[in-house]
Amino acid sequence: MDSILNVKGLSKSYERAGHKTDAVRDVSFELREGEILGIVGSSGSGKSTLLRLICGLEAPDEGHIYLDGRELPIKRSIADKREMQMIFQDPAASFHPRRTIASSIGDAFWSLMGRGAALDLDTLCLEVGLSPELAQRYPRSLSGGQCQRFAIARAIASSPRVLLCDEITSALDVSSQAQILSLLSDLRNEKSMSMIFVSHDLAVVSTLCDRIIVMRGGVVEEGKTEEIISAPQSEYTKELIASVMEI
Amino acid sequence: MNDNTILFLEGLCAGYGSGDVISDISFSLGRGESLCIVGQSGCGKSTLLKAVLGIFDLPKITGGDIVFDSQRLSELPPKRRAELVSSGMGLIFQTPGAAFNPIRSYKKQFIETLKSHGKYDKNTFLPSVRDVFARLGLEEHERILASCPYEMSGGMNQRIALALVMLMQQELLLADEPTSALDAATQRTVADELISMRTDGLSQLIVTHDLALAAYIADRIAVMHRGKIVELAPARELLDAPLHSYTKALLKTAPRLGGELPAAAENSEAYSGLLTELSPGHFVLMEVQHGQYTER
Amino acid sequence: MLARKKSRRRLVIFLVLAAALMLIGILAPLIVPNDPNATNASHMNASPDAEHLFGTDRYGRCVFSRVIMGTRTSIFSAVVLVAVTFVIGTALGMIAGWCGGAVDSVIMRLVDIMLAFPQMVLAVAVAGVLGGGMINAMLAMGLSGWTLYARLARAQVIAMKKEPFISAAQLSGCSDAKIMLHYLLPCMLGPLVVNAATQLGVMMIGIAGLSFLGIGVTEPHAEWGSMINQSRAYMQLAPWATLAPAGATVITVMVFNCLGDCLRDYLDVEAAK
Repeated sequence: MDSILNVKGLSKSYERAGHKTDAVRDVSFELREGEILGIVGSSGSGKSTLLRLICGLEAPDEGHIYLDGRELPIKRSIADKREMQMIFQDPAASFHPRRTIASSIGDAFWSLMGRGAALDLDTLCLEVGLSPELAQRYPRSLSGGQCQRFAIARAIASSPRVLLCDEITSALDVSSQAQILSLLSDLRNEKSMSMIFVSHDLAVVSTLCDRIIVMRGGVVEEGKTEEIISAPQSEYTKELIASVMEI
Repeated sequence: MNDNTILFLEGLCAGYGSGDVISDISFSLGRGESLCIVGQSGCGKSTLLKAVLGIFDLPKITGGDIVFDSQRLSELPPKRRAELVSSGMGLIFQTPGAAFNPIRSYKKQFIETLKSHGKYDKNTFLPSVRDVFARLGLEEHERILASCPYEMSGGMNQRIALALVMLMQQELLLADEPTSALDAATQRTVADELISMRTDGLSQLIVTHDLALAAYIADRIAVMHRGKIVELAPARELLDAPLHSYTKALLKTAPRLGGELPAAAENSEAYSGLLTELSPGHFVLMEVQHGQYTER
Repeated sequence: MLARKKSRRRLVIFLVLAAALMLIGILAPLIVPNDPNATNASHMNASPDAEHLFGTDRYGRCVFSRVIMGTRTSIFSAVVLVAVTFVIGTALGMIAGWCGGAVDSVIMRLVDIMLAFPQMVLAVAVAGVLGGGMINAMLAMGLSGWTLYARLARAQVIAMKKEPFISAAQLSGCSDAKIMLHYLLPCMLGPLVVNAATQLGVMMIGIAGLSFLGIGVTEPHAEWGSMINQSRAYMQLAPWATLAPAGATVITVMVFNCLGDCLRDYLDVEAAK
């Protein structure tokens, strides 16, 4: 498989109350075409910051991001934004509270694709398994699972090649979580989208992802899912695996 | 029901004014037992917990009764009921630290809470805090007492809230999604503490959507769906040999480490019938058809 | 539910009162019984009667007519002043919060400088330098008036900046201006409008105060502050000429202050729902 996204030596630190803390420390990895890459780590391990850096919401202190071998600038062009979209943890806060879902999705789509582009909202809704009528509602009248599926709909409306998922099932119950996971798996299989799936929940990551990166500021361990689960190398990974409660 | 029962619900119905959200909920909880109620969001599990607690305005109990510590709550005058509930039941919320004022030290808040229940003794306060903190694996009790909730992580706040329940010597812990807002490693720590508290004799009624947590800590598990208990059984039995079709579907949605992608089943079907004991301790919601009980 | 009904009823009452006052201001030239500027040497300091409801002042001008005309001056100047400071302050505050860095520093240092002086002292100094007149009085009040909105808007923007729906809008290529106008502004309008409503009363008092000191609206233009100043020397002879504009000021400021409070309560209740 060819690599679609390359991250090289990415670092970011924040200054809080006078002293510097490293959020992301010298992270390098590659995302291959059509692959779902899991990133796990406990809270505060820099996973979310890493995603915000990759999609250009924040500027890294150091490091480079390459899409198809071409370096992405910090200020992304519309064409670059079309290639990469992100989905967030809090489903209700992912939408403008005073707009209908349909208008939010439309706004995002036409900003990316230009005024003239045709948006087939009905098909898009059905793709994420929701009835098109629900899109006429406001986010507060929808459940967390429904909001999150609409957030996925908004992200895939412009047919991006890379999808960044930041703890997108953490706020949902097991049933909604399972629906989101199978939706992502379908998107990968049918549209060959590549994804980075960030979560603290190793069990969830292990069911969905092809490869796993264990993170704690920097990369602790990287490997195929089966290898990480059955033969973890680092102490930190072993701890994470030990903390999973088995059914 | 016998002396060994701490909490007994008898056909409890409750709702928010327009129809019942939970209906005909019956189960008993033994002393030192941990019962987990699992189900999707909106199945009524949090409503059940609030109805048992009864300190909020809503939900209103519309039928059935609650027996706590051999006393029928409906027979007690409201003030006596509130006293009994607040001194006998501890509550842990999903949002860590929701029970604390973020900018007052734990020490002040602990003393205040103990005093309001007449359980404060100046001489034994510090030793008993040290004792409880040590049992929960919290070190440096004096430093923790001097700090404020906003300085602490979510997991820490949740553990300290558990410590307060033990200090209050409450007999029953009610917990609403106690680990859902925490990351995996911290979840395990809090779960381990719940187990050690149960070993010390604290009865627990825990509401969660996390089947793994229920599997880890519960003696018995009740599965709720659309306001009804559809299955209630000892934890291992329910997980290994579920009988109700909803339980089976729910179990398939739980992710397992290194396992297959969980199955996504949309299930909004409403089940009716009677909770029937099929084998000792294993209750399943069954429908009456042609004079016979049939399993759904 | 009950609280919502109650707060809505109170809001409607004060909205009607405020609207009535504004209507009086707009229609003032049509409803005044006498020419507010016409002097009458045979009718100086006359006590109230059927023709002159509030009596006359020392030039024999009808006090009632002048109070009605003054409504126009007070409400018009306060509304325009609040509207202009609201727009400028909110815009600068949002830009500061959104851009951060050097832009933020420059705008907020400007705010700090303005806030270093008490508002009234600064206004007196500025109005003194610029000289009298309504426009100059408004400039003097507005010079520091915008800082309130700027600080509030900046705080709101910073709090909302990392909300997922803002990030999503950035990722979908919305321009900064669009995000500020369509995404941030609608979500923070509530508290800003409440502030603006309470500022109406403050601005009225401020302009009346400047006029009272003789550095705001000047004679013969009818304005409550300057009317009080002119007539207070004859307080014992013609108390009506002082009391009428004073009463009008108190009532108008109270109505607009209560309107602000009711608006806040109402929006709070709405938000809680």
